[in-house]
Amino acid sequence: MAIVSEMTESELIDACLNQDRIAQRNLYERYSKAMYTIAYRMAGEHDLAADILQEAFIKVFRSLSKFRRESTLGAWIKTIVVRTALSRLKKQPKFDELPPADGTEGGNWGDFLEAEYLEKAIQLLPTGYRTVFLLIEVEGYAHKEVADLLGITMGTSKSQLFYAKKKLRQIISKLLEV
Amino acid sequence: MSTEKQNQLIQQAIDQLPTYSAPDHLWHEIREQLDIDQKDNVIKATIGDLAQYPPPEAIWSGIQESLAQKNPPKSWLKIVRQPLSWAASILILVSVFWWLNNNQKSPVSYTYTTQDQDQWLLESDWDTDEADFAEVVQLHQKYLHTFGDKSALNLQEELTELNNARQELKQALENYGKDRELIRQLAAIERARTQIINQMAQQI
Repeated sequence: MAIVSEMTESELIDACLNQDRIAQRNLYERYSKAMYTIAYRMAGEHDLAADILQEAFIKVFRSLSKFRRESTLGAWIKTIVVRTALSRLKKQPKFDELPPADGTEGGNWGDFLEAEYLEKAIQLLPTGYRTVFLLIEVEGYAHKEVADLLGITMGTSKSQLFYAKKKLRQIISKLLEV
Repeated sequence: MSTEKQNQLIQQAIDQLPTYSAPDHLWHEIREQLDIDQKDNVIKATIGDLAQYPPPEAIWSGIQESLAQKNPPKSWLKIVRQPLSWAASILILVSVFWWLNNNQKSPVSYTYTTQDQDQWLLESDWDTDEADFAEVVQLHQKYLHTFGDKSALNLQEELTELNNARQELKQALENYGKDRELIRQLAAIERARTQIINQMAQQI
Protein backbone atom coordinates (compact mmCIF):
# COMPACT_ATOMS: atom_id res chain seq x y z
CA MET A 1 0.00 0.00 0.00
CA ALA A 2 1.32 3.46 -0.95
CA ILE A 3 2.27 5.98 1.73
CA VAL A 4 -0.65 8.35 2.09
CA SER A 5 1.37 11.49 1.43
CA GLU A 6 2.66 10.01 -1.82
CA MET A 7 -0.71 8.78 -3.06
CA THR A 8 -2.12 9.99 -6.34
CA GLU A 9 -5.44 11.81 -6.23
CA SER A 10 -7.26 8.68 -7.37
CA GLU A 11 -5.57 6.47 -4.73
CA LEU A 12 -6.33 9.03 -2.08
CA ILE A 13 -10.02 9.08 -3.05
CA ASP A 14 -10.19 5.28 -2.90
CA ALA A 15 -8.55 5.25 0.52
CA CYS A 16 -10.98 7.90 1.77
CA LEU A 17 -13.89 5.83 0.46
CA ASN A 18 -12.55 2.95 2.58
CA GLN A 19 -12.91 5.25 5.59
CA ASP A 20 -9.13 5.50 6.02
CA ARG A 21 -8.82 8.33 8.56
CA ILE A 22 -5.20 9.11 7.66
CA ALA A 23 -6.14 9.44 4.00
CA GLN A 24 -9.05 11.68 4.92
CA ARG A 25 -6.77 13.88 6.97
CA ASN A 26 -4.30 14.02 4.09
CA LEU A 27 -7.02 15.03 1.64
CA TYR A 28 -8.11 17.75 4.05
CA GLU A 29 -4.54 18.98 4.41
CA ARG A 30 -4.09 19.13 0.64
CA TYR A 31 -7.07 21.36 0.01
CA SER A 32 -8.02 23.06 3.27
CA LYS A 33 -5.82 26.14 2.88
CA ALA A 34 -7.06 27.04 -0.60
CA MET A 35 -10.65 26.29 0.35
CA TYR A 36 -10.48 28.24 3.58
CA THR A 37 -9.15 31.22 1.64
CA ILE A 38 -12.14 31.09 -0.73
CA ALA A 39 -14.52 30.74 2.22
CA TYR A 40 -12.89 33.66 4.03
CA ARG A 41 -12.98 35.95 1.00
CA MET A 42 -16.64 35.15 0.38
CA ALA A 43 -17.71 35.38 4.01
CA GLY A 44 -15.52 38.34 4.93
CA GLU A 45 -14.88 36.98 8.44
CA HIS A 46 -12.85 34.11 9.91
CA ASP A 47 -15.47 32.55 12.21
CA LEU A 48 -18.02 32.16 9.44
CA ALA A 49 -15.28 30.94 7.08
CA ALA A 50 -14.34 28.21 9.60
CA ASP A 51 -17.98 27.08 9.83
CA ILE A 52 -18.26 27.02 6.05
CA LEU A 53 -15.08 24.96 5.67
CA GLN A 54 -16.13 22.41 8.29
CA GLU A 55 -19.60 21.97 6.79
CA ALA A 56 -18.17 21.77 3.28
CA PHE A 57 -15.56 19.09 4.12
CA ILE A 58 -18.13 16.97 5.95
CA LYS A 59 -20.22 17.10 2.76
CA VAL A 60 -17.11 16.24 0.73
CA PHE A 61 -16.37 13.08 2.73
CA ARG A 62 -20.00 12.00 2.92
CA SER A 63 -20.61 12.39 -0.80
CA LEU A 64 -17.20 11.37 -2.10
CA SER A 65 -18.72 8.20 -3.60
CA LYS A 66 -20.76 10.46 -5.90
CA PHE A 67 -17.64 12.17 -7.28
CA ARG A 68 -17.52 10.93 -10.88
CA ARG A 69 -13.89 11.94 -11.45
CA GLU A 70 -14.84 13.97 -14.54
CA SER A 71 -13.20 17.10 -13.12
CA THR A 72 -10.29 17.44 -10.70
CA LEU A 73 -11.00 16.72 -7.06
CA GLY A 74 -9.98 20.29 -6.22
CA ALA A 75 -12.55 21.77 -8.61
CA TRP A 76 -15.25 19.49 -7.16
CA ILE A 77 -14.39 20.45 -3.57
CA LYS A 78 -14.25 24.14 -4.54
CA THR A 79 -17.79 23.96 -5.93
CA ILE A 80 -18.99 22.43 -2.66
CA VAL A 81 -17.24 25.15 -0.65
CA VAL A 82 -18.71 27.91 -2.82
CA ARG A 83 -22.20 26.43 -2.61
CA THR A 84 -21.90 26.03 1.15
CA ALA A 85 -20.65 29.59 1.50
CA LEU A 86 -23.53 30.93 -0.57
CA SER A 87 -26.04 29.02 1.48
CA ARG A 88 -24.42 30.09 4.77
CA LEU A 89 -24.47 33.70 3.69
CA LYS A 90 -28.21 33.00 3.84
CA LYS A 91 -29.71 35.88 1.98
CA GLN A 92 -28.48 35.63 -1.56
CA PRO A 93 -26.42 38.62 -2.55
CA LYS A 94 -28.51 41.19 -4.34
CA PHE A 95 -27.78 41.56 -8.01
CA ASP A 96 -29.02 44.97 -9.00
CA GLU A 97 -28.48 46.32 -12.44
CA LEU A 98 -27.86 49.78 -10.96
CA PRO A 99 -24.40 51.13 -11.57
CA PRO A 100 -22.33 52.08 -8.53
CA ALA A 101 -22.41 55.66 -7.30
CA ASP A 102 -20.28 58.01 -9.35
CA GLY A 103 -16.80 58.47 -8.05
CA THR A 104 -13.36 59.15 -9.40
CA GLU A 105 -11.33 56.19 -10.49
CA GLY A 106 -8.20 58.15 -9.58
CA GLY A 107 -5.01 58.83 -11.46
CA ASN A 108 -2.26 56.54 -12.53
CA TRP A 109 -1.50 53.72 -10.10
CA GLY A 110 1.77 52.76 -11.68
CA ASP A 111 2.49 49.17 -12.66
CA PHE A 112 2.35 47.60 -9.26
CA LEU A 113 -0.30 47.27 -6.60
CA GLU A 114 0.22 45.87 -3.12
CA ALA A 115 -1.89 42.70 -2.65
CA GLU A 116 -2.87 44.08 0.73
CA TYR A 117 -4.74 46.96 -0.94
CA LEU A 118 -6.49 44.63 -3.32
CA GLU A 119 -7.51 42.31 -0.47
CA LYS A 120 -8.96 45.21 1.46
CA ALA A 121 -10.71 46.59 -1.60
CA ILE A 122 -12.31 43.20 -2.34
CA GLN A 123 -13.66 43.04 1.19
CA LEU A 124 -15.11 46.53 0.81
CA LEU A 125 -17.11 45.52 -2.28
CA PRO A 126 -20.85 45.00 -1.81
CA THR A 127 -21.67 41.27 -1.42
CA GLY A 128 -23.10 40.77 -4.91
CA TYR A 129 -20.18 42.45 -6.66
CA ARG A 130 -17.67 40.70 -4.40
CA THR A 131 -19.13 37.25 -5.07
CA VAL A 132 -19.08 37.65 -8.84
CA PHE A 133 -15.62 39.25 -8.86
CA LEU A 134 -14.15 36.52 -6.63
CA LEU A 135 -15.69 33.65 -8.57
CA ILE A 136 -14.72 34.94 -12.01
CA GLU A 137 -11.50 36.92 -11.58
CA VAL A 138 -9.95 35.15 -8.60
CA GLU A 139 -11.30 31.59 -8.82
CA GLY A 140 -11.47 31.44 -12.60
CA TYR A 141 -15.09 30.40 -13.05
CA ALA A 142 -16.80 31.14 -16.38
CA HIS A 143 -19.85 33.40 -16.52
CA LYS A 144 -22.02 30.38 -17.32
CA GLU A 145 -20.81 28.54 -14.19
CA VAL A 146 -21.34 31.62 -12.03
CA ALA A 147 -24.81 32.10 -13.47
CA ASP A 148 -25.65 28.48 -12.57
CA LEU A 149 -24.15 28.74 -9.10
CA LEU A 150 -25.92 31.97 -8.23
CA GLY A 151 -29.17 31.36 -10.08
CA ILE A 152 -28.76 34.44 -12.27
CA THR A 153 -28.47 34.96 -16.00
CA MET A 154 -25.15 35.18 -17.81
CA GLY A 155 -26.03 38.76 -18.70
CA THR A 156 -26.44 39.66 -15.03
CA SER A 157 -23.15 37.95 -14.23
CA LYS A 158 -21.37 40.02 -16.91
CA SER A 159 -22.94 43.31 -15.86
CA GLN A 160 -22.21 42.58 -12.19
CA LEU A 161 -18.55 41.96 -13.05
CA PHE A 162 -18.39 45.21 -15.02
CA TYR A 163 -19.80 47.20 -12.10
CA ALA A 164 -17.71 45.26 -9.59
CA LYS A 165 -14.50 46.19 -11.43
CA LYS A 166 -15.55 49.82 -11.69
CA LYS A 167 -16.32 49.93 -7.98
CA LEU A 168 -13.05 48.14 -7.19
CA ARG A 169 -11.02 50.73 -9.14
CA GLN A 170 -12.76 53.51 -7.22
CA ILE A 171 -12.05 51.84 -3.85
CA ILE A 172 -8.41 51.15 -4.67
CA SER A 173 -7.91 54.72 -5.88
CA LYS A 174 -9.36 55.97 -2.61
CA LEU A 175 -7.16 53.63 -0.57
CA LEU A 176 -4.08 54.77 -2.48
CA GLU A 177 -4.93 58.43 -1.85
CA VAL A 178 -5.08 58.00 1.91
CA MET B 1 -22.55 62.01 -70.95
CA SER B 2 -19.85 59.38 -71.17
CA THR B 3 -19.03 57.14 -68.24
CA GLU B 4 -15.49 58.47 -68.20
CA LYS B 5 -16.78 62.02 -67.82
CA GLN B 6 -19.11 60.96 -65.03
CA ASN B 7 -16.25 59.33 -63.12
CA GLN B 8 -14.17 62.46 -63.53
CA LEU B 9 -16.93 64.60 -62.02
CA ILE B 10 -17.39 62.19 -59.14
CA GLN B 11 -13.65 62.27 -58.45
CA GLN B 12 -13.65 66.07 -58.48
CA ALA B 13 -16.54 66.10 -56.02
CA ILE B 14 -14.73 63.62 -53.78
CA ASP B 15 -11.65 65.86 -53.77
CA GLN B 16 -13.78 68.77 -52.63
CA LEU B 17 -15.40 66.90 -49.72
CA PRO B 18 -14.73 68.71 -46.42
CA THR B 19 -12.66 67.22 -43.59
CA TYR B 20 -13.98 66.96 -40.03
CA SER B 21 -12.14 67.27 -36.72
CA ALA B 22 -12.66 64.76 -33.92
CA PRO B 23 -14.38 66.17 -30.80
CA ASP B 24 -11.94 67.37 -28.16
CA HIS B 25 -13.36 65.03 -25.48
CA LEU B 26 -12.66 61.94 -27.55
CA TRP B 27 -9.01 61.65 -26.63
CA HIS B 28 -9.93 62.14 -22.99
CA GLU B 29 -12.32 59.18 -23.18
CA ILE B 30 -9.79 57.02 -25.03
CA ARG B 31 -7.15 57.81 -22.41
CA GLU B 32 -9.63 57.01 -19.63
CA GLN B 33 -10.36 53.63 -21.19
CA LEU B 34 -6.63 52.95 -21.53
CA ASP B 35 -6.23 53.85 -17.86
CA ILE B 36 -9.00 51.45 -16.95
CA ASP B 37 -7.36 48.68 -18.97
CA GLN B 38 -4.06 49.32 -17.26
CA LYS B 39 -5.66 49.26 -13.84
CA ASP B 40 -7.49 46.04 -14.64
CA ASN B 41 -4.21 44.51 -15.73
CA VAL B 42 -2.57 45.59 -12.47
CA ILE B 43 -5.45 44.09 -10.49
CA LYS B 44 -5.17 40.84 -12.46
CA ALA B 45 -1.47 40.67 -11.80
CA THR B 46 -2.02 41.32 -8.11
CA ILE B 47 -4.63 38.59 -7.77
CA GLY B 48 -1.81 36.04 -8.02
CA ASP B 49 -0.14 37.67 -5.02
CA LEU B 50 -3.17 37.47 -2.79
CA ALA B 51 -2.42 35.65 0.43
CA GLN B 52 -3.76 32.25 1.38
CA TYR B 53 -5.15 31.77 4.85
CA PRO B 54 -4.56 28.63 6.91
CA PRO B 55 -7.73 27.29 8.52
CA PRO B 56 -7.88 27.04 12.34
CA GLU B 57 -6.76 23.67 13.73
CA ALA B 58 -10.09 23.06 15.42
CA ILE B 59 -11.85 22.56 12.10
CA TRP B 60 -10.37 19.09 11.53
CA SER B 61 -11.53 17.96 14.99
CA GLY B 62 -15.05 19.09 14.16
CA ILE B 63 -14.97 17.22 10.84
CA GLN B 64 -13.65 14.04 12.51
CA GLU B 65 -16.37 14.18 15.15
CA SER B 66 -19.08 14.52 12.53
CA LEU B 67 -17.69 11.69 10.43
CA ALA B 68 -17.53 9.44 13.51
CA GLN B 69 -21.33 9.73 13.79
CA LYS B 70 -21.73 7.34 10.90
CA ASN B 71 -25.47 7.02 11.08
CA PRO B 72 -26.99 10.08 12.66
CA PRO B 73 -30.45 9.23 14.10
CA LYS B 74 -33.13 9.72 11.52
CA SER B 75 -36.11 11.81 12.37
CA TRP B 76 -39.53 10.12 12.23
CA LEU B 77 -40.31 12.22 9.19
CA LYS B 78 -37.34 10.78 7.30
CA ILE B 79 -38.35 7.25 8.34
CA VAL B 80 -41.93 7.54 7.08
CA ARG B 81 -41.14 9.70 4.08
CA GLN B 82 -40.29 6.87 1.69
CA PRO B 83 -43.23 4.54 2.53
CA LEU B 84 -45.51 7.57 2.35
CA SER B 85 -44.20 8.54 -1.05
CA TRP B 86 -44.71 4.95 -2.29
CA ALA B 87 -48.26 4.92 -0.96
CA ALA B 88 -48.96 8.28 -2.56
CA SER B 89 -47.58 7.03 -5.90
CA ILE B 90 -49.75 3.89 -5.78
CA LEU B 91 -52.80 5.97 -4.89
CA ILE B 92 -52.16 8.30 -7.81
CA LEU B 93 -51.72 5.35 -10.21
CA VAL B 94 -54.93 3.68 -9.00
CA SER B 95 -56.81 6.97 -9.27
CA VAL B 96 -55.55 7.54 -12.80
CA PHE B 97 -56.41 3.94 -13.80
CA TRP B 98 -59.91 4.25 -12.30
CA TRP B 99 -60.47 7.59 -13.99
CA LEU B 100 -59.30 6.30 -17.38
CA ASN B 101 -61.40 3.16 -17.00
CA ASN B 102 -64.50 5.17 -16.28
CA ASN B 103 -63.95 7.72 -18.97
CA GLN B 104 -63.00 5.44 -21.86
CA LYS B 105 -66.54 4.00 -22.26
CA SER B 106 -68.54 5.69 -24.95
CA PRO B 107 -71.07 7.97 -23.35
CA VAL B 108 -74.59 6.50 -23.20
CA SER B 109 -77.50 8.84 -23.61
CA TYR B 110 -81.13 8.04 -23.06
CA THR B 111 -83.81 9.98 -24.91
CA TYR B 112 -87.48 9.64 -24.40
CA THR B 113 -90.60 11.60 -25.05
CA THR B 114 -93.86 11.70 -23.19
CA GLN B 115 -97.34 12.02 -24.58
CA ASP B 116 -100.54 12.75 -22.74
CA GLN B 117 -102.86 9.79 -23.03
CA ASP B 118 -106.37 10.27 -24.35
CA GLN B 119 -108.48 8.51 -21.80
CA TRP B 120 -111.20 7.67 -24.28
CA LEU B 121 -108.66 5.78 -26.36
CA LEU B 122 -107.78 3.61 -23.41
CA GLU B 123 -111.35 2.38 -23.10
CA SER B 124 -111.71 -0.88 -25.04
CA ASP B 125 -115.15 0.00 -26.45
CA TRP B 126 -114.81 -1.75 -29.80
CA ASP B 127 -116.75 -4.82 -28.67
CA THR B 128 -119.81 -2.97 -27.29
CA ASP B 129 -121.82 -3.14 -30.55
CA GLU B 130 -120.62 -6.58 -31.45
CA ALA B 131 -123.86 -8.31 -30.37
CA ASP B 132 -125.97 -6.00 -32.59
CA PHE B 133 -123.53 -6.48 -35.48
CA ALA B 134 -123.72 -10.28 -35.05
CA GLU B 135 -127.55 -10.14 -35.17
CA VAL B 136 -127.49 -8.14 -38.46
CA VAL B 137 -124.87 -10.49 -39.99
CA GLN B 138 -126.93 -13.51 -38.94
CA LEU B 139 -130.11 -12.10 -40.57
CA HIS B 140 -128.12 -11.13 -43.70
CA GLN B 141 -126.78 -14.69 -43.90
CA LYS B 142 -130.33 -16.06 -43.44
CA TYR B 143 -131.72 -14.04 -46.34
CA LEU B 144 -128.62 -14.19 -48.53
CA HIS B 145 -130.20 -16.46 -51.16
CA THR B 146 -133.18 -14.07 -51.50
CA PHE B 147 -131.10 -10.98 -52.38
CA GLY B 148 -130.38 -12.30 -55.88
CA ASP B 149 -127.22 -10.29 -56.61
CA LYS B 150 -123.57 -10.69 -55.99
CA SER B 151 -123.18 -7.56 -53.86
CA ALA B 152 -124.60 -9.25 -50.76
CA LEU B 153 -121.95 -11.95 -51.03
CA ASN B 154 -119.24 -9.31 -51.56
CA LEU B 155 -120.38 -7.55 -48.38
CA GLN B 156 -119.99 -10.77 -46.44
CA GLU B 157 -116.51 -11.40 -47.88
CA GLU B 158 -115.42 -7.81 -47.12
CA LEU B 159 -116.77 -8.16 -43.59
CA THR B 160 -114.86 -11.42 -43.11
CA GLU B 161 -111.59 -9.71 -44.23
CA LEU B 162 -112.25 -6.76 -41.94
CA ASN B 163 -113.01 -9.12 -39.07
CA ASN B 164 -109.70 -10.93 -39.62
CA ALA B 165 -107.82 -7.62 -39.72
CA ARG B 166 -109.68 -6.48 -36.63
CA GLN B 167 -108.70 -9.70 -34.83
CA GLU B 168 -105.00 -9.24 -35.70
CA LEU B 169 -105.03 -5.64 -34.45
CA LYS B 170 -106.73 -6.65 -31.22
CA GLN B 171 -104.02 -9.29 -30.71
CA ALA B 172 -101.32 -6.69 -31.36
CA LEU B 173 -102.91 -4.36 -28.84
CA GLU B 174 -102.81 -7.14 -26.26
CA ASN B 175 -99.19 -7.95 -27.03
CA TYR B 176 -97.70 -4.45 -27.33
CA GLY B 177 -100.01 -2.26 -25.34
CA LYS B 178 -102.41 0.40 -26.42
CA ASP B 179 -100.39 2.01 -29.14
CA ARG B 180 -101.93 5.15 -30.58
CA GLU B 181 -101.34 4.07 -34.20
CA LEU B 182 -102.87 0.61 -33.69
CA ILE B 183 -105.92 2.17 -32.08
CA ARG B 184 -106.23 4.58 -35.03
CA GLN B 185 -106.10 1.62 -37.48
CA LEU B 186 -108.64 -0.30 -35.40
CA ALA B 187 -110.95 2.73 -35.44
CA ALA B 188 -110.71 2.85 -39.27
CA ILE B 189 -111.61 -0.86 -39.49
CA GLU B 190 -114.54 -0.31 -37.15
CA ARG B 191 -115.81 2.51 -39.37
CA ALA B 192 -115.51 0.24 -42.44
CA ARG B 193 -117.28 -2.60 -40.66
CA THR B 194 -120.07 -0.23 -39.54
CA GLN B 195 -120.57 0.87 -43.15
CA ILE B 196 -120.78 -2.77 -44.32
CA ILE B 197 -123.16 -3.65 -41.49
CA ASN B 198 -125.33 -0.64 -42.47
CA GLN B 199 -125.38 -1.84 -46.10
CA MET B 200 -126.29 -5.36 -44.92
CA ALA B 201 -129.09 -3.91 -42.80
CA GLN B 202 -130.39 -1.98 -45.82
CA GLN B 203 -130.36 -5.13 -47.96
CA ILE B 204 -132.27 -6.98 -45.28
